[in-house]
Amino acid sequence: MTYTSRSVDPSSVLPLMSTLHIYRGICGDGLPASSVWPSANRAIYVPHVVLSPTWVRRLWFAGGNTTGNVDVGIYRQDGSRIVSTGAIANANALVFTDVTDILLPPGAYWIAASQSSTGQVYRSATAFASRGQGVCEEESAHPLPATMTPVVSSVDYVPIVGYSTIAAEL
Amino acid sequence: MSYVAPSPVAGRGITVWTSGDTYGVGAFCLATIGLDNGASGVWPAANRALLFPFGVPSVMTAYKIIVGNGSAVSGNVDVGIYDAAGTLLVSSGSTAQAGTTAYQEFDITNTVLYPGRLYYVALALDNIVGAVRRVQYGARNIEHLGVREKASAFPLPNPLTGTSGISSSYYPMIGIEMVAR
Repeated sequence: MTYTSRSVDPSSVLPLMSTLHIYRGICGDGLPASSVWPSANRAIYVPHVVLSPTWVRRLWFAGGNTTGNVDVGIYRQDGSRIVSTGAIANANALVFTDVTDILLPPGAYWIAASQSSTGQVYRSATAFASRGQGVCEEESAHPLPATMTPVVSSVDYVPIVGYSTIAAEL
Repeated sequence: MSYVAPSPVAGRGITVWTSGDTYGVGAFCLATIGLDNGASGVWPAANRALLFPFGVPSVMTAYKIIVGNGSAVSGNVDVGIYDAAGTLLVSSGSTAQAGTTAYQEFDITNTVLYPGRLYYVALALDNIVGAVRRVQYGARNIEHLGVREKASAFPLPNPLTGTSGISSSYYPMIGIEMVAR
């Protein structure tokens, strides 16, 4: 019998994984920018694929102003929540929240975010078709529910949110 | 001059660029935007180091770092690779920037890199006259990709800690040449 060496997806060690990453989620042409959340209390769910076991040590979002609260989470493909931050005050900055370390096995997941108001968050370029990339949404979903009930996305708005594989920056 | 990343040739490894998504060096999205859409830009601050995260899929040996120089060269450059703890694994040491609008190759001591570990490739210049091919992707957008910067970091220090988010819209073209071990 011949054994082949196991390959590790290099992305599994990148410090900031997010909806930005092409092949692993969503990436739009052009420059992401701060933009008003499309609807208060709406959750947005972005498909995300993990190819090699990957640690989640923090969740983060790219806030655009100080309006409202943001909740970031990760869901299994079946819609059950793995982890979320709960409502966190928005800020015009990268906002990290420590979570209990979780090792994600290879598989398909959702990166989720919801906003309590129409505060600003960085999002993918507007000329980007959310629905065509499998992005979904849910109304009245702030904070993020234990089980998501998604419908197809109604607007082109992919928030820049994700997780960190490291506990602190270099 | 058109910048086209060199293809692997016999006896040489692949080159992993900050402009592509292979091995996760920096910006996946820049694979879409592309550094070919960028241009020469002078280094944003003297003695500043920029660090780009990456991993490898299997045991690899890095033996060269390549920088896409811009339309002006000046002073000295230092390139290197750090591990996740900020330990400098290898660097070129201070080297005169040479060759306008051309690739400048820096030989480094062969350095074994392991899968499942986070590394950073670092670039520092000691002046703001020298230029590097770069994309202006927006400081915040570059920060969202995990890129970090460090002031007063020329030559590249060991260890390197206390980095901060990117303060300039400046995403330079750097490549690591490596081969499967």
